[in-house]
Parts: sequence; structure tokens; C-alpha cells
Amino acid sequence: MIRLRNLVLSTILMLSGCGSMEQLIRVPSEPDNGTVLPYRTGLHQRSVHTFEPVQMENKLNERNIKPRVENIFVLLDQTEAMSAQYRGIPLSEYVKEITRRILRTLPMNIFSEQFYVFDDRANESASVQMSRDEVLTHSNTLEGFAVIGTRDLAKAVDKLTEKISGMKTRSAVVLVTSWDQISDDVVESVMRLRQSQHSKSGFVVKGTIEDWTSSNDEGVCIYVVGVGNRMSRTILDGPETCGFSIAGDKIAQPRDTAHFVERAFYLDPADSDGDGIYDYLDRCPATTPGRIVGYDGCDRFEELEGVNGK
Amino acid sequence: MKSLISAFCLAFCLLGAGASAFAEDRLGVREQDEMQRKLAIEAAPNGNDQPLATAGDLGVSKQLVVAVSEEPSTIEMNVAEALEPVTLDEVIQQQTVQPTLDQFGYDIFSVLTTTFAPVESIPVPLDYIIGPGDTFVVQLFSASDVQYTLVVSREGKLLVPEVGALQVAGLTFGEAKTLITESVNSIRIGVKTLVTLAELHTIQVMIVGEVSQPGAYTVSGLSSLLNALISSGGIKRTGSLRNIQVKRGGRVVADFDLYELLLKGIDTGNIYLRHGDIVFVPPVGQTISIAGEVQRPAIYELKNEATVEEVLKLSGGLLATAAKNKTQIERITDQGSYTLIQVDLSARGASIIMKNGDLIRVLPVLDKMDEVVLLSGHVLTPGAYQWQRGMRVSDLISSKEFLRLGAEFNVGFIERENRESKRSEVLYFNLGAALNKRGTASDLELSPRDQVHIFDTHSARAPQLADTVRKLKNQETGQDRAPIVSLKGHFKHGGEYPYQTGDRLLDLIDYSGGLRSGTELKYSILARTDFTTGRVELIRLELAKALDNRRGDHNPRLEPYDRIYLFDNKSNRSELLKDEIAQLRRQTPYGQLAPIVEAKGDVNLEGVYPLTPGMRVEDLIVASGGLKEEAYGAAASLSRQSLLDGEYSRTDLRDLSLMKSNTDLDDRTTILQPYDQLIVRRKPEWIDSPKYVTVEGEVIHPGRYRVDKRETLCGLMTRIGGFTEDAYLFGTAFFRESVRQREQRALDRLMEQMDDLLAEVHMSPGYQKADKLPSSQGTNDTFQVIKQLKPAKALGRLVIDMESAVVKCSETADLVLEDGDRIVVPKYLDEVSVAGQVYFPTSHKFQSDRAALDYINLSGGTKELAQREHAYIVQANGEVMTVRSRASTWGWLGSPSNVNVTPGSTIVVPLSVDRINGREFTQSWLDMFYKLTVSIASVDFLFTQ
Repeated sequence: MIRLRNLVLSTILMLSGCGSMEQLIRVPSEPDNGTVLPYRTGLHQRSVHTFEPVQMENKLNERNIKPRVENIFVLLDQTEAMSAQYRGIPLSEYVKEITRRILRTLPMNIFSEQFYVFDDRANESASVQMSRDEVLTHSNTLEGFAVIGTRDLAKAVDKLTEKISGMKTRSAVVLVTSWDQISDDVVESVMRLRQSQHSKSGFVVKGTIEDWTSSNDEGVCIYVVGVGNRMSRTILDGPETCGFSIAGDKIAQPRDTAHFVERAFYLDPADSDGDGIYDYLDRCPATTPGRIVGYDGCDRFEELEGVNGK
Repeated sequence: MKSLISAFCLAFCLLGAGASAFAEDRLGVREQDEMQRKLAIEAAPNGNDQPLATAGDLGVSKQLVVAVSEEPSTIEMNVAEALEPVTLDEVIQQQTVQPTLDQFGYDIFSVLTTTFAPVESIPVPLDYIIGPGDTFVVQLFSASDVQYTLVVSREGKLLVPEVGALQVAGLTFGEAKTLITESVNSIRIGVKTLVTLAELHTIQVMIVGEVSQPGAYTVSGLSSLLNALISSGGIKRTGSLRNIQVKRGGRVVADFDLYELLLKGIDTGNIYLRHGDIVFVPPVGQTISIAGEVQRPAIYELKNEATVEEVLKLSGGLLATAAKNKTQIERITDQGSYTLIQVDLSARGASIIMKNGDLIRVLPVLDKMDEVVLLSGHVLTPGAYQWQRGMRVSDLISSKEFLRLGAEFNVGFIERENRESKRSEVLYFNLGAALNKRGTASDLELSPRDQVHIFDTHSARAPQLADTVRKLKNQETGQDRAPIVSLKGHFKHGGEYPYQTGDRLLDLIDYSGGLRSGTELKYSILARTDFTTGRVELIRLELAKALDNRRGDHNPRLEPYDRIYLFDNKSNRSELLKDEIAQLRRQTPYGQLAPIVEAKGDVNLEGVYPLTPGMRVEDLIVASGGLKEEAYGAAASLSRQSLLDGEYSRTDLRDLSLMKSNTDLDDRTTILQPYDQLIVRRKPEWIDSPKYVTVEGEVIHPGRYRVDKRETLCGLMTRIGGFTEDAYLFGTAFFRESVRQREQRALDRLMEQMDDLLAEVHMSPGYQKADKLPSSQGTNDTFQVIKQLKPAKALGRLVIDMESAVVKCSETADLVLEDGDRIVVPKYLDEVSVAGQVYFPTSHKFQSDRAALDYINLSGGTKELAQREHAYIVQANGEVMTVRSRASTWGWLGSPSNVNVTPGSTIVVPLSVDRINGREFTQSWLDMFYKLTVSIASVDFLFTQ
């Protein structure tokens, strides 16, 4: 049994108006942490010296891209194992930097700006509410809130499961950790987390095909951002499960971060008239169903004579 | 001679047809002169005199024959043209007629000018005027016949013996004859008198005016005007042919019109000349040229003719091919320029008064069939038919009798000339409907010059339509594209088809022979080119919806150069769409991705497909022929290429559910993006081909059993209910196909090595002096052995411990079954066979206290050639062990080996290879014999029981 120093569990609550969630963020304690973040040489060779997040709001608004999930939970692994050095910097620092970049890129206009930090060794009531700006700009002051004693990453996932299981909404869990940390225990915990969201599955017979799933709006997608070595997948990925793994250095650049955020938390652009052309490309936004459209979303053939033929 | 002949030909043609080049004519005359001179010079020295006229005559008569066969007349040519099959082709006709014209009539003088002489052998006409110099022959028949040759004296007297001088000059020949006869009779009674003229007197005439060689000519007294003219070399082309005058004593006694002779055969005016006559040829008068479609295009001199009609008569009249209403008169105006008068000869135009120098151009009729319809294709009597007002398809094809077997009834084709727009158009009609419902709208009304084409059901239609398609393509303009579509893929008769404006997809399918069975109804592609940008757009159509609603989107109106792709469920769709997809790639500008998606994995037709507008995952599945039976519907991966900033591309791997809607995952309604790749997996544990295992022999239920994945021998044996009491588990033979194949390969390799070995042996006779056999003997033996070994087949026996595998289900002995495994459980055998180099190879009753050597000894012991130290035992379970292996000390002499012999085993004593061949090959031999014998011995008992 490894004695883990601190595990940070951070939860960001989505979609203003929904119930609040707890959050604990451990951000790097860099003394020169101003608006310009220091460049981490280890993150990526092609990295720029400052991280200027891509402004996603315009694109999201223009293309009418809706969030896929209502809640985003970011689980930062700050256990003792993460103090191992990778290219001269502790892994935990990578974890914090990646999280910071994701948070800075994530548009907040549709998400509530409520951040909760909690210590799972202590009582839940010890949660403290913070704004995102506080999280990002005064990260060094968070040091005091972040100290959590828990046994391991798997426990933290279980803790998260407890928090999520009551919710009837879709959630995304971003697990920022080192690849080596995905132990069998963690896998089991993640399975429990998934099962907690699929408890309402049923058995439906449609024609000759047996369908075990009900249409469930609740669900959880688990994204693993791995730091450290160059692996890119974990056994948490499965063909039938939501979510995927990705290497931290692949999403370190502003546009890559934005791409990750869009892919993980947002749906494809909306297509309100169902003609297969995204609304932002659709010049004819209300196509009659069944018509053949062109790439501009308008009827490809002009006339529509009768409905039942001659 | 040849040039002479051709010259004559020309001359003759000119006379006969009246149409030839002026220059050539002149040339011909000159050549003729030269030729005659040449012949005369050649003839002079050797005295081989040849009458020139004969040569000339010969030439003419020969040419007569040749000329007719060589150049057909205009009429013949016109008819020949008309005899060709009727087509509707239009030939462009310039308003040209003959390039040159000749003056009419002058050719008469170009023949035989210098050889002309008055003919003396003809009877002298009675009206011939006797003059001085005429020679009479007077014959008197009585008791004695007398003949006198008498010449008229200068005084005009004829001195007849016994009669006296008779004044005959000035009398006609008839009068002179009477005078002489009567005078003789009056003196000598009873004498019969015969008077003839022997030689005629000559007269001198003057030929002046527009003749070749004017002057005084001495001609025969019997010469006519024409004779004189011809002998003088003829009239120049500047001279009149119509007003030749003969003056006698200051008076005009004759006015000769040569045209009368040439055109009508009237020779009034062609009088006999008398001494002192003056022939005067005045200059040519007014001339008119007639060119084109008349019998004799030429330049004519006018005399009394005034109107066009009269002039045309001179030229022999119009040809049938003359366009009467399009005759032109080119005239020199008073102002001194040319003008053109258009006349209609069939109407009042014929009475137009001609003017000197006019040129009449009679143009040919349009070379164009009108008022006809053409029938072609699969009919019994193709060809041209008369068009009538109100004619319909059913009038042309009055009954089905006209159609050949296999004619297509659903569609016929008409190529029509639009008289207004001057464009070819196409029409399709339903032949069956036209014949069954005459006079209705489907029985199309025909226009003149329609081409009706009937298809058949079996042959390709594109070649039949190729002409029309080419015509349509030729007449297209940038704004007005040719109405042609290409049908590709699963059509009955694909290819390029013209269409009628407003035709839709299903119409074209009808034209191409109808929908074929097996056509994919949910996916077909319409490729359309935007001609302003040149971009190609691919549109996905669903035939099922088109059939449902013939006026809906899925049955669109076609546009020029559309390509329609229909698919079936077997052939490669991507391959068919290859060109279009290549075009999509080419036309994709920088910063965009080509609209191409790909389906891979367990779909029926893997490949690259165009991303049609609004395409979703499910559409791609339809495009790729649907999911295979074994496809895994719960999850597939969608690999998506994203462009960030247009420069960086990222590949995302998305998991999506194909069968259920899942909001967490992407599902089959996910909208595709360019370069998306759908990879469909296979269902887990999908069994492609079930596995079967055969169990034979001493089991309770032998037979063929289906086994699951990972099913073991023990599991199967337990399932099928065990063995009979007779089963000899130890001897169970287990055959496995994969093992057999491996063995067979090894065996084959061995055989190859043997072949090499044999070759080596052959190549090196007497390799070692120490060989025990002569080399020839050795190779022969080797060859024999190899021949026997050739058919050796591997068995694929796997040695298993059946006992522990089945009875105890021991994990080490058990094995997982494979498809095609065969298990043979033999009966218990209590015998041991001995084979090979023993004196008496046979079987022996098994006795547990006997060892291997005992059995060998029981068989009479080893032979001379045996290799005793290599004897081995093939156990009933397939194991092979050498006899000496277990022996701690090899004591062949006396102490038997303690190798266990089990019931059913075979003991083999091999042949000593040393005896066969050189020692260096011993090892190879041994190996081979060993393997082969084992494979035979190890299963021997299974089939002998």
C-alpha cells in the first residue's frame, strides 16, 4: 500500500442552472505565475513560450455547437507517484499545466463559473467555492486547499462515483494522470463509475434484434489525459464506451487543446433541419424532410411536383 | 499513238457531248497535226507508205468504243447517285457549275482537216454541172464493144468518135448523158451506150472572212460549201457559224446556218459550189453562255433566239436534276458591271429576253431527300418511306409483322430535324403503346426526314445511337449543351444516350432497356458537371424513392452530360466511381478536404465513396452495400481527419454505435465529413465455418461431431458417450490436417533431395573405387527405390496419450480439437508384426514376456542385407523407438534388448544402405527409409483389421 501524499479531485460544474458540485484544484506553485504562463520545455518540442488559448466562443456560437455533457469533472492525480521526474520536471506539474490549459481554453459562457475544492480526507462541508479566474490566476494560493489524504487514485474515482451517481445528467470525467497510474484498481473503479450511470439499462426486443440498452440520457464519458512517456491509449478505452485517451503533449498546443475540448465536451455542429448539412453551412435552414440538398443545404433540384407521383 | 488516240478522243467527245475544255481542244488539234507529219516523215525513207486517213479513222473508231465506257454522261452519273441507299445526309452545294465552257459547234472543223478531200467514189449526181476538164467514159455495146475516155475540152466540147463534137459544158450530168446517148444512138443503131463520169473537173473558190486560212482554194467540182470550209481548215472561233454566205456573181446565193445542221440535221444552204464562188464567214454574232444542268453546256451564238427558253433549246434542254426555280443569269449591265438575275424557269422566267454576253447558270437541285422518313434498326424492311401529312409511327410500322424477332417494344427512337432551329432533336416513344393505341399521344406524329429507329432487346444501344450523339455534340454551343447523358454501371445497355428535354432518370432507365434485376435501389449516383465552373458534383439518388414518386427529387430531370451510375450488389462500386472521385480530388481547392469517405472492414463492398451532401454514417453503410452478416453493429470506429487552421491535420478516432441510438457515442446518424473512414468490425466469436471432428472405430456413437471453440478431446469423448469394450485406447490414431500438411511438405522436400541425390549418382559414376557394387548397378537400385517411394503420402498422425487424455482428462495429455480432426479408435490387437530384412516377415501373438529381439528371432532372424543395429519398433500409438535405445549396453550377440513391445506394434529391420551405394550417402538413405517405413507401419494395423 503506497502512501499517497495528495490527490486532487477537481470538479467543474456545467450548464448554469444545474446543481453544484465540489471541486478541488491543485495548481502549480510557480512564483512568476502571472497572466503569462511559463513555458514547459518538457511538454512539447514545438511549443510556444506562452500559452494563449484559442478563443472557442465564436466558433461554437457560429456553428451552433452544443455541449455534449452537462458536467465536467477533472480529476488531477497528485499522488506521491506523480512526483517522479519526467524530463526534469515532476509529473504532477505536467498534470497541473495540462489542466490549466484545458480550463483556460474551455469557454465558460455557458458553464457556470463555480469551482469547488474539496478535501476527501475531511468532511465534504469543507468545500470552498471559487471562481475560475481565481483558480487560474491565483493558483499558487490554492496550495492550502489542496491537501487531501486518500489512499490511491482508485479511491478518488470511487469518491467521484459517489458524487456523480445521484445526478441525472451526462457528465465527462477527465482523468489527468500518468499512464502508469492506470492500475487494475483504477480500471475497476472506472467500471463502477460507468455502471453507476447505466443502471437503468433494460432489455428491448426490436424485430429480430435483441437490444439491451434503453435510451439513456445519463451517462459518463471518461477521458484520460496521460503525461509522461509516449503511450497514447489505455485499457479504459473500449469500443462501446464513451471517451478516449490521449497523450498530454498531443493536446498541449493552443489549437490542439481547443480541438480536444471541442471533441470531448461538445457535439458536432447542430443540424436543426436534419438535412445532413450543419446549420452554419446551411443556407436554407428549413429544408423539407426528404428533399435532396446540395452542399449549401438548399434543395438540389428545384421543383417538387406532387408528393405521390404523377 | 497514245497521244493521238487521246487527241481523237477529245475531239470526238467534243462533238458528241459538246462539253470539253477549250484549251484541250486546241492542244488536240496541234498534236494531231504533228503526229501526222511525224508519221509521214517516218514512212518516207522506207517506202512503207501508210494512208494517213486510215490511221486516223482507226483511231476514231477505237475511241468511239473507249469513250463511251470511260466517261459516263451527266445523266448516268445522276442516276448512279440516286441508286445509292437513301440517306438524309445533306451535302453542301456551292453554286458552281462547269469551270470552263466551249463555243458550240467549232469542233466539227477540228477533225481531219488536212486529209479532207472531195469524195470521188460516190456516184455523180445528175444535177452536177459539166465543165471543162470533166472526163467521160463512154462505153458502146454492140457486135464489138468499144470504150472511149473523153475529156471535155476548154471550149466545153466533147469529141465523141464517130459522132462528133458535142457541146456539154453548162449542161447537167443528166442532160449530158442524154445528149451523148441520143447522139450515139442516132448514128449507130443498135448500140447500147453507157455514159459515166470518170474524173471531175476542179473548181476554184474563194474562202474569206473568219476562217483559219482564207484564200483561193481549188476543190473538186463536186464540193459542197461545208466540204470547202473544212478543207480550208475550218472557221475560227471568231467566225459565225450561223451566217455563212456564198456569193456568186455578186449575189448571195446561200446563207448557211451550221447550227441547223448540227442541231436539227437540216443542211439547206449547204449548196454545191461552182467555179468562182466566194464563201464568206462573217464575225461571230451575239453569244450566250449556258452552264450547269443542261444537256450541252456551251457558248452559243444567237441568231433568231431571243428568250431564255429558246436558248435552252439550243443547249438541248434542261437536265432532270436542274433546279428550275434557281436559275441565275449573269448579265453585263449598261453601266458596265455584272449583275445577277434570278429566274424561275418553270414560270415566267423562261420568257426573259437574253442579251449578248449573258451567262445562264442552271444550278442543280438540292441533294437532299425530302418528304421521306427513314426506318432503321430491328425491322425486316429498313429503308426510306414516303412521308405523308399526319403520318404517325403506326403508319410507318403498320403492324408487328414489320418487326424482327426480339424487337424492343418499350422504347423506340426518332431523330428529327427541327426546321426552325436547324438542330437535330431526339424523341423517344413507346412502340408497344404506339401500335396498340393508334392515333393517341404515344403514337407520335412524324415529320419529314424523321429517322425512326427500332431497338432490339439484346444488342448494345450506344453504337446505334453513336451517330446521333455525335451530331448533337457537333451542334452544341457554350450556352446550349448537347442533351446527352452517360449511363454507367448496372444498366442493361449502358453508354451515351441522347435525351429529350425534361426526361428524368427513370425515363433514361427505360430507354436503356429497363431496370435490371439486382440493381441497388437505395444508392445510385448522379454526377453532374457545372459547366461554368467545371466542377463535378455527385448526388446520391435512391431509385426506390424515385419509383415511389416519379416526380420527386430522386427522379430528377437530367441535364447535359450527366452521368448516372447504377450499382449491383456484387461489383466494385469504388472502381466504377474511380474517375469521378479522382475529379473530386482534383477540383478540391487548397484549404479544403475532398468530399471522399471510405468504408472498410465488414461491409459488403469496401472502398472509397463520394461524400454526397448530407451524407451520414448510415448512408455510407448503404453505399458500401450494407453491413455483412458478421459485422459488429454495437460499435464501429470512425476515423476523422480534421484540419486545424487549414494547415494542421489531426486524426480523431471516434467510436460509434451502428445499431442503436446512443447519445454518449456517435451513432449512425452522425454526419460525415471529408476523409472520414468508417471501419466496421466483426462480431466477437463469430464463427465463420463451424468445426467438425470425425470419430471412428470403437466408440459407442461414431460419427461426425461439431465442436466449439476450445473444445478438447476429453470434452468431446465424454460428450459422445465413451468407448466399446473392444477399444484399444493405446492404439488410437489421431489425424490432424495441419500436421499432415507439415509432414507432406517435409516428405516432399525429402523427395527432392532424393532426386538431387540420384542426379549426383548418375553424374559421377564410380565416384569411389571402394563402391561395393558397380556404379551402374547401384544407380539402378537407387532409381528403383525412389520410384517406389514416390507416391508416399503423409498421414498427419499425431501421437497422443489417449488413455490419460480421456480417462483422466489430464491437462497435459488433453488437446484442443481442430476442424477436420479424425480420431480412429482401433480394436484391441494382440499381435506383433515383424517386417523388413528378416527371413520370414510375419505377425506373432503378443506375449508380455517377449521383447523386440525375440520377435525378430521368431521371424527367422535378420538377413544378410539387414542393418541390425538400426532395427526399430513402431508402437501401436504411433511412437517409434529404436530397439537399442533402452538398452543400457548394446548386446546384440546373445543378450536381447529390453525394449517393451506393446500389442499391435511393428518391428522393422531396415535394409543396409551400405550395400546399395557409397557410404557417403548412407545417412540420407537411412533417414528416408526410416520415415517412410514408419508412416506405413504406424497405420498399417488400422486398416488390416
